[in-house]
Amino acid sequence: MEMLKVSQLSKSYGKQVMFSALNHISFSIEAGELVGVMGPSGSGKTTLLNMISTVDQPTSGEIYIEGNNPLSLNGDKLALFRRRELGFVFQDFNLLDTLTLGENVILPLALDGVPVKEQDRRLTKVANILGIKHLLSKRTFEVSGGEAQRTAIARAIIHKPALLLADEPTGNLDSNASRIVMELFEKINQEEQVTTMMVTHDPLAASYCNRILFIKDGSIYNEIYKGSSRQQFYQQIIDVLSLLGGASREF
Amino acid sequence: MNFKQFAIKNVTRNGKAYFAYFLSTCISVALFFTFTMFILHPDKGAFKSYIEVSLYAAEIITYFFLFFFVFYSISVFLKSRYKEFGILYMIGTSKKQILKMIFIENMLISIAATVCGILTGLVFSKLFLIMIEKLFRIQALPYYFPIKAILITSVAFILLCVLVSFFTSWIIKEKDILHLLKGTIAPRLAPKPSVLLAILSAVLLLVAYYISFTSNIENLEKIILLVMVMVVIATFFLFSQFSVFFIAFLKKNRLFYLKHTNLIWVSNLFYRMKDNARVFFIISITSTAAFISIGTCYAFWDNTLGNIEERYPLAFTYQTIGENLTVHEEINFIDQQLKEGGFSYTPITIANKSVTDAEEISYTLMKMSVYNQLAEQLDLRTASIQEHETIKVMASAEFGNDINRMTIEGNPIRVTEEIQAKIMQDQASTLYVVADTLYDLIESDEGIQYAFHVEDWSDTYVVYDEYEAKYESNPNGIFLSKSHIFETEKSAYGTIMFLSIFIGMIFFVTSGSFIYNKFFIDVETDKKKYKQLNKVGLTFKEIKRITTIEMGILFMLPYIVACIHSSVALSTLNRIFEIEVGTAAFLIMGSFLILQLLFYVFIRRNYLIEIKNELIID
Repeated sequence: MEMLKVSQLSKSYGKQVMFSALNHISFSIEAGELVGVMGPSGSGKTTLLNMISTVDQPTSGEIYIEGNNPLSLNGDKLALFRRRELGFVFQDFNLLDTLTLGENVILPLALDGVPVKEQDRRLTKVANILGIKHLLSKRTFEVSGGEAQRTAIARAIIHKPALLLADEPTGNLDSNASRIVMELFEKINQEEQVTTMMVTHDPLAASYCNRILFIKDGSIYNEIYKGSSRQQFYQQIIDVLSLLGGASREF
Repeated sequence: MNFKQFAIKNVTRNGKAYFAYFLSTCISVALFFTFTMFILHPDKGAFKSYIEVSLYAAEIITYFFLFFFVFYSISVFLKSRYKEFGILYMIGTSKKQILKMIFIENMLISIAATVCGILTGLVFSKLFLIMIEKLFRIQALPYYFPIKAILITSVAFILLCVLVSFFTSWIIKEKDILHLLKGTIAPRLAPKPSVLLAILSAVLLLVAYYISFTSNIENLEKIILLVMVMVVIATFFLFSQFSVFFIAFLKKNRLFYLKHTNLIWVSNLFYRMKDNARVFFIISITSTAAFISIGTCYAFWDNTLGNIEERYPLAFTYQTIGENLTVHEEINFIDQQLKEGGFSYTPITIANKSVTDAEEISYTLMKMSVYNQLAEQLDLRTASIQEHETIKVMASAEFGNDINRMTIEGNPIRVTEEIQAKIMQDQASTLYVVADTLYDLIESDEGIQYAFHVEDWSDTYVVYDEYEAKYESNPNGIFLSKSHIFETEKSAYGTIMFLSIFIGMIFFVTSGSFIYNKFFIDVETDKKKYKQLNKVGLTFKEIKRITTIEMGILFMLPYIVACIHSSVALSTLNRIFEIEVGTAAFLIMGSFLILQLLFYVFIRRNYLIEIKNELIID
């Protein structure tokens, strides 16, 4: 089943001098996929993510998430769509520091008026998957970046979104924490069938994906699938990045 | 560019950032100036010395309050600039230089604010005078150009600015700035309310209310200070401990806490309550003081003017003391003036005689025909009295006696009726109305009063003014005019009330801007927070609901507490002094609450606009 379908998506900025951030991009993500999007700075990958996140409007083209076109919605309806159909993981976690980690995780459920018992049940489940059970009563400043990101992932998947979107989820983490977080992405993808699209700079993080889309100058440059080993996939990613140019400047 | 120029450019090129601080200083100056202007008003009249003293005391308290307010504003303002200071530190500015920079900026703002404030004050006071005049129908003070007040205000605020600048070295903490630079800003720890203090505050408050409710006129003086201290302490802990304790309790109630947006606003309030506890405390206490003083003043004003009919039943009376040569001339003059003024009036010559009976009790007697003339004018029942009868007329119940028989000139007389009424201006005790024939028999000096009764007396003070201009020098004539007395009392009480309303306004406006400042500093962090939450699906409608509840509580709570405090205090005054304060207090508290509500609606709207601009496409 197609979870995400992007067709002929374009975005241009400016009035007199047009700058085209995306040029007629089309691709789709099947249910259960873990897709990485890579590309040099300015390639348009963040613009793409923003449009799929419904926080930015394309100039032309269509987006379908589980067959629905969120761009036909507006205002609060769009916010509700994001709340129910999408899950977000950000580079800087975006957890509320007035809440405990546990409260942060259940926030989407509480906002939707899910009964407390059900909230507890689901919290226990995701906390177990992400290994944050012992952290639930802690506050955001009491935990490490990796732990905060795991909490953010828990928040992003607790309401079983159609699509999980991650924006540089390992960007603020050290290599060890990055590895743990990526293993969790892989785990929830495999065990919970969470369809994920992730924008990243980090080839090591990207190597946990099933498929990588490379974007350059607003168009899809290349697409590679993971074979049998992650090690080999990593090497492939490095190769494409060096072909893409600018890769050496990126990391 | 030297350092001074740098500081000046800082202010002139970044006006928006400095505006809030400028505005609060400007408001303080305007209020202080207006108040000083009234205190030094040449026509405000002479007050009793204790009122004069309390006015100056109020001025000093106001100054301290405003000092605190300005100090608070600058500390909030400087804290929002830590990042800027951080950059200055990075490029090697010393703390001394930063303080110097702040001092120069501060002087610049203060001078501008003082000038603006005084100008605003000049306009504002005129408006205020008109408003008071319309609202209370009192002859307001005339406008004057207050050079002395301008000087005092300027000196006071320049001094305040120097002092505040001096204290800023406490506000700016080098350590915090360096932490901010390194990105290791200390997180806000969860407030831990003390259960003991929370209970203490509730108990203290209840006990204080109980004492207040059970007090009486004898022990009032002893308990009043105790109750005040108790309420002040209780209020402080109410905001700093009890409120936090209460929210912690709400958080424990998971069915409530984990439902919809409750999660967000309850957890926000948990921190904001503690952060704002001191400000809330000050707002509550000052508002309580203002409500009580205005309420009491208004009640006294209303009461005094309300019973003028009781105290002065007749529009005019003229009395002579000793030998008065011009009595007829003066009476004619008054008569003439009343005619010229086009007033319809009834002249009555009131005569009474004093007799002492065998038992050395003296009675004041009045002829029935005179009484009936008065009774007709004052809407009392006319009397018809036989030779051996009398009617007892008492000014009030407390002058009652149990005399029901007497002997006058050898005639036994029986009291047939008792009437409680005041029919003469200076009727202190009891009058006995007797038959004309009996009265004429009595041989004693007759006291004569010339009365002029005017039904609609409200403008008759002009007659008094004319009289006073002409015959003021006659020490033997006493001319009383109800209308003149009324006007005099009205303006005397009016001035005091006007000043207490004014002090109330100062507290109100400054505490309003306290909250205003706080919110517009917070809006920067809130924008970021709500933008993120909107991204993960928090709708604007929900943000609106959260804001409405959160702001509503922060805005209204201190006023509600103040209203409860003052209601208790005023009802006690009501009970003990038997003054009707209900309507007055209701009027004052109601209008302040409405103002506060309007202020809340206004700020909430602006705040939501700011947040909405930050949100994603719609």
